[in-house]
Parts: sequence; C-alpha cells; structure tokens
Amino acid sequence: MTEHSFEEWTPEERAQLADVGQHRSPRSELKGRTMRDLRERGLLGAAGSRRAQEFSLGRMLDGYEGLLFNMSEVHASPVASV
Amino acid sequence: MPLVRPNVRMIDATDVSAPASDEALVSAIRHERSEAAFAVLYDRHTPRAFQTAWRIVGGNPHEAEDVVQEAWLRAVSSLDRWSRQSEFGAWFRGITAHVAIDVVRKQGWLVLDADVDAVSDETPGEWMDMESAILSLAPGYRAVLVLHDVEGFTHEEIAERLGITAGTSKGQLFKARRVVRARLAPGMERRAL
Repeated sequence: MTEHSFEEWTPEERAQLADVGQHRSPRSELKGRTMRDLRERGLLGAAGSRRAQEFSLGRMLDGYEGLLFNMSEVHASPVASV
Repeated sequence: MPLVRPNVRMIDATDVSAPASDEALVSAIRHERSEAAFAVLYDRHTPRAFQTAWRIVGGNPHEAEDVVQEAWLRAVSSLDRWSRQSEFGAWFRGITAHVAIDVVRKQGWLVLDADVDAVSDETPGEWMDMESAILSLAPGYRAVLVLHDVEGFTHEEIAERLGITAGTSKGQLFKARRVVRARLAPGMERRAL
C-alpha cells in the first residue's frame, strides 16, 4: 500500500495547504536577538575568532611552560638559599 | 600576521552584484565567524523556517520565534554536519521542525494515541478555512499532517522525529485529513468526498 492510497487532497486543497502560514513572518528584532545569542556563545563575531587565535596549541604550551618555570623558581629559591 | 585561507571567500554584506551561495556563506561562518555571512543566510532561510515552526506549534508567533532562534543556534553549532549534497534550507527546516516538536512535546501536548480526539477544540457545525482547520487539530495530529502534507517529510522521517512507527504516522495522517476536510467550507468538502 502506498502513501497515496490515503484520501488525497484535491488540487485546490493542495494550493490552500501550501498557503497555510505563508503570510506569517517573524518580528525584525528576532534577527538581532539571534545574532546576539550566537555572539555570546562564541559562534559568531570577531571576539570568537580572536579567542580562537589566542588559544592556539602553541600559545597554550608556551603559557603552560612559563607557568611551570615560574613555579619552579618560587619553590627553588628557599631551598637554594639554605 | 593574520592567517588567510585562500579557499574561504570573504563575505561583503554590501556586495549585491552576485548573491553568495549557501555553501560560501556557511564556509565563511564556520571559518571566520562572519556576521555578514550569517545575516545573509538568516534573511534567506528564516521566513520559510518560521512558517514551519508556526504551523507545528499551532499558530503561536512568539513560540515560533523562540523555535527559530533555537534552531539557528543548533544549526550554527553543527554546520560541519551539513552535507553539501542536501539543500541548506531543507536541512535547516529539518532542525526547525525538530525543535518545534520538542517544544510541543515538553508542553505535554504531543499525544499520538488512537484514543485521543483529533480535534483540540470542539466547535461543531463551524466551517473553517484550511488554516483554521489545521490549527484546530490536536497537536500530535497537526504535527503529522504539517510534516507530511505541507513540509514533505516521509512517514519514516516523521516516525523517527516523533518517536512513533511509520504505521502510526499513516493512521494519524488519515484521521487528521478527515477532520480537516469535515471542517472545510461545505462546497469544498463535497468536492473532496
């Protein structure tokens, strides 16, 4: 049994069906609201790109290495001074 | 020195000489987070998606707007899943339909049961136009009818989205069509039966 074996719409009804909701449109502020939401989630806008560039693997490793170096300096100093 | 990807075309929202393809816009959003590209893609596909949402949530414009906003968030978060073999608009409307169904389901209105009346509000003897007749359906029936007869989904796709069997989807569509027909203006009903 195919889907078309059910009561089918007449061509006139099909045209009416296609027309349901056609004249409806969202308010213009939805665009700004949506873009703001996307920006806040880092999915849109220059801020997101900058953040992505700042957190490249190389920069993260450099930062981690620097942190380890500083920590070793802090803990090494008292021992060295004894 | 800024990283330049030669395969990514920069989108200029003021350039109206040649409309950018959906593929170029998606690429610019994915790689550059381009707001100009998103604005064009939004203007191109939101009206149709809004209508899909509006029909499924039963004619509530505020809920339909919330659905479209959530659909864009999901779409932009998963642009890498869009297959270029499919039309972007159809892919986005699929996401929109999914979000709209979730909204109706969370409200506890999406009941797809043979015992549930297909009509949400009883106004016997009142003739309606097609839009009012569809909006008067119980949410579960309306979802099936809209997805199949208006949006062009198959029963298998509807079954997957609604968590029912394809057979149930066919049965609900049959009942929904009968109710809508019975509520249409008398002249049209006679032609249909």
